[in-house]
Amino acid sequence: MEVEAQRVTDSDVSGETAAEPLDTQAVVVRYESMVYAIAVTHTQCRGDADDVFQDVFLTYHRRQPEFRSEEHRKAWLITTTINCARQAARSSWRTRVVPLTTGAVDAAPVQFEFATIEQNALFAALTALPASYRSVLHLFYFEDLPILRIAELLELTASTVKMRLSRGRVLMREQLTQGVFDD
Amino acid sequence: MTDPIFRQMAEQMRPSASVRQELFDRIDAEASGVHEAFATRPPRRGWVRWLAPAVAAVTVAALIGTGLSGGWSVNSGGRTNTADQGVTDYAALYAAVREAPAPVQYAMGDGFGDRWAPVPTAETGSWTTNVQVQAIDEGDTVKSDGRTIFIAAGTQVAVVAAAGDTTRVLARIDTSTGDAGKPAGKGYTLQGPVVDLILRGTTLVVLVTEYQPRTTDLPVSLPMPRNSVNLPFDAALTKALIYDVADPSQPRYQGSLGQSGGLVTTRLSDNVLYLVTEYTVADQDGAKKDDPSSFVPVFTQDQVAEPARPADCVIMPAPSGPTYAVVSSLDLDKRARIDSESIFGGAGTVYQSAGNLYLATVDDSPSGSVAEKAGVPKDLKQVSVTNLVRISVAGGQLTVAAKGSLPGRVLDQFALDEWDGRLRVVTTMEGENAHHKRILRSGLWVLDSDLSLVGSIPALAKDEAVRSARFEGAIGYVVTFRSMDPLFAIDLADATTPRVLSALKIPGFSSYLHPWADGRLLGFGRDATDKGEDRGMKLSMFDTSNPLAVAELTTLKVKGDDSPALSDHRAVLVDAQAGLVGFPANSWTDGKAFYELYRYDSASGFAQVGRIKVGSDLDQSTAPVRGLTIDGRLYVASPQSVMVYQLDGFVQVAKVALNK
Repeated sequence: MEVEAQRVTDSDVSGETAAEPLDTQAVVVRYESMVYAIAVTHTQCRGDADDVFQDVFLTYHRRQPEFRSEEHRKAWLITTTINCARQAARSSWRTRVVPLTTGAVDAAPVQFEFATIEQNALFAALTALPASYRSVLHLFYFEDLPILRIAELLELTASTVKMRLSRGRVLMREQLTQGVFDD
Repeated sequence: MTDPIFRQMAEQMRPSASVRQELFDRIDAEASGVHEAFATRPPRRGWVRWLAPAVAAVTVAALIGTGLSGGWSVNSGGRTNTADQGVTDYAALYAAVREAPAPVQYAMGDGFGDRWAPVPTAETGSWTTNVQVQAIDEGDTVKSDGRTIFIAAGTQVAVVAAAGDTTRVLARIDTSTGDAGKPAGKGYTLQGPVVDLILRGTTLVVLVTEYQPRTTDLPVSLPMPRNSVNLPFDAALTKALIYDVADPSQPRYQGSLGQSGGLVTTRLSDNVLYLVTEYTVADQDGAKKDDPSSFVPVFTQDQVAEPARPADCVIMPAPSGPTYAVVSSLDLDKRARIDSESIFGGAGTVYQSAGNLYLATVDDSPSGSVAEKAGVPKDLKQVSVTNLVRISVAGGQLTVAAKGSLPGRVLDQFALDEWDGRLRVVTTMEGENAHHKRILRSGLWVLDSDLSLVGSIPALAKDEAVRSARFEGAIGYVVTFRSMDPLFAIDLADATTPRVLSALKIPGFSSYLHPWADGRLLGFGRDATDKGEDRGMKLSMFDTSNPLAVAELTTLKVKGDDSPALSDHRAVLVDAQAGLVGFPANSWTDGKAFYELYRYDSASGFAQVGRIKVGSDLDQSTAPVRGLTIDGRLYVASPQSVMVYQLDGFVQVAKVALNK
């Protein structure tokens, strides 16, 4: 699946390490966790995450974009993965919503599972968030990115990022304590 | 700094070895010049066709834009209240949409049940809809010109000849087929039932909503039951289908004009139809800078769509969601759009006078500066703010002319009234004082054409909320309630010093006030004990001939637990000439629905004329029911049937079933 690669602006050049020429395989090895993690939290199941993971690096491989710095390359991969995951969601619904005449029913897709109950609860709470909150929280908690960096990547103002972080945390807290007070 | 749980989870979010190897293989294949065509790659997800075949098994939970969800907070930083020039380019709108907080999303299956689209609120009407402002018609599910009755019934419109005992169905308009049923929106679209009708001469305008599934926030691959799927659908587009009904037995479809969003309301003034919708950008994050239709409303003529132009857009500061109020004026004679205004900040209550259209939107968590600018008393906290926009409507030309704000919430469209160049508004302020004690207060405000405050009664009633209001020129009637129903008569002749003329305290409260005749005001509402316990519904007639001493002439308890007329004025039939009042009433205990008709005369007060059973179960009882008085007969119209009664002697002369 061809993915819309995000145009990365000058502001992404933060004066970090210069981009070494890496072949695609090396880039995969260095960034596969980052890309795959974004894919998982934005598509929720392994099958789709696998597709997104492959599509992003294949697109990278075909485009061979030039990067001014390592940060630049990382930014390209992050925004491309988020876009790709979003497209995956949309196209999968297109195939689902169209009523079919044949009764072919294959196995239903399986949600991504973690090792402990707390991790699964956290994942469920995270994926229940609106997409715009999810991206911000993922980049903040899983990638440890500073707010200004997140703002640059997602083309938002810093105050919007801060607001989504705090609101997202509130929503997640509500989700996580939901079952606690049930009778 | 961050909890170790995130690192633990991150370590598990890794591709499997086989997936990684497959990627490397494909990269190698490409490197060696073997290019794989994307289109032919077999879908690795084996679950592609897992939806069961029966379309009937798809249960749809529809999310409706009711016009009360969006809001904005107005920054106090040096804003003037003068007219906006509009936005200069799409980039500003793109940024505004991306920056806005995410829209309020309901979790799947969260109390929406299996409702299809909005149930049109049934309201009864006489042969003209019971509207707020004379000569400005409002859309409704039943319309009539005195000879033909048009009734919205699901996706159809029943065309019925009002002919006493020979009342019969002349035709049925089916909006789901033919050109009328062709979606104007792109992608997977469902067209919902008819939500509103407007009749002007021989032109019938039928309003329908197109829905699209919300693909963005839906979990992509949640395990789902095999036979059905619950999808939230958003109101994507509202279409005005135009029919020529010169020959009502052969309605002719002429075309459609549409705009993004769900219907808020319609108004008709001369030959101009004003259409107000509320549009929330469904895919906020996926908005594409180069594609304006992904972040601004679109306007359609038949199947052709065009995005709103920046000059016709206004951005309110600090919106609480990516929501537009979309207002457009349609020339029904030319069947063309005259003008439009898209206000980024949401729609709320709409009040239209002869020259202006006002949007009142409530912001429930205003910032300190916003609250201050609105005039929230310093001793109160957590008070909502109502933001107002005045759009001048001159012959269909729309211009955002002024913006303002007030403390508290407006109840409905009757809480606003324009007279003598001034806007009068009643609000209810609810909040906390410094000691965390709950405070409730009703207030009356008078604004000039700049929406600046010129006069007010900020504490009209303490510990009471506004329940209804009606303005008649220089006098305003406001009902507030806690356990007693003070009916205030307020003198507004001098806008800068409004004053309370009298306050009549009676148990219960009126939800709807209607000027009946000179010196007479009709009230319909709930009855209550001294302590505020609900005791059913009641009709009241007030003597307002001396505003300094308003008195209750008579009252009558009404059978039934509830009535749509309590919240929708269009459900009330008032025929003052014949002395008749009619409305639907429901009984919860036995699930029955009735249409009640009463007569009022000064000698004997209220007397029940008739009580007609309308539905046999609660589902039917929530369908719109209207009563129309034509030529000495009462027509009770619902999507199921039209029943005709001779008023003299109140005997049924005809009954026509509509749902064959």
